[in-house]
Amino acid sequence: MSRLPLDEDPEAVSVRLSFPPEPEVVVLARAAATAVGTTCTWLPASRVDDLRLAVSEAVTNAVLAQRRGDIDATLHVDVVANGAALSVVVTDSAGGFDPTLHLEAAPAPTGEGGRGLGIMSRFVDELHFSQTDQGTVVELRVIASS
Amino acid sequence: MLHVGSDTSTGDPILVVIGDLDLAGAPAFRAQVAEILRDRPERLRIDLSGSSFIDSVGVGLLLGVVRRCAGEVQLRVSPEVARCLRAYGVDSLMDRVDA
Repeated sequence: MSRLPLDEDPEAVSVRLSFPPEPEVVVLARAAATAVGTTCTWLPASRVDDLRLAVSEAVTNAVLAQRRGDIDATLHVDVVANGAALSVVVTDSAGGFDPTLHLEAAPAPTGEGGRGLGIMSRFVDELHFSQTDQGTVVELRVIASS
Repeated sequence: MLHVGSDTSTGDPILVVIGDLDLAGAPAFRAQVAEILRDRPERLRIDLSGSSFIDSVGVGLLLGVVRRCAGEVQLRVSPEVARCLRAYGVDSLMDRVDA
């Protein structure tokens, strides 16, 4: 089935969350992604679980990055889906970072950190990072298999 | 939500985690663990059978307990948490899960 791109599809389901960089909001982002994911009949439940983990990592990173910089600006999480794809976009205002540095460095087997980006890249079909004047935009995208 | 109890037969401490073990749950978890480890238990059981989600923050917390606890650390997990742990590929934690 040929579908319009997500941002042009009037039938797409979309949710926007905007919140302060508090740890308690990560669960909201997971819930939104899971809720939208379960409306996608093409997306198996196991892949919704994978997406939930990846979203948790992306939003946790955004919250921690802003808190490290003592930046109170609002974080945004946009979840959009249609019959062809589901996209979760996490937008922070924490300045930028170089994801390749983190993706290339494997965590120590018993190390306490450094696993989030690996999970994100493994559990979604596409992972995009881009920089804005304010911070980082991370897009996690799951695509219906043809 | 965290609950600290003890094994009635051995007296070993049990830390029961209800709900998600993530960034929001981390401060309370760290505080409870610090209190438990002050008594230098020979064995600590962490019960995640009432939890359905753990992410890399939670995995890091569990690895931290294993590193800091001089005694044995055992885990009890729900199928959902077992799935998450497998996703992170942390064998040193899976090896501690009660069959």
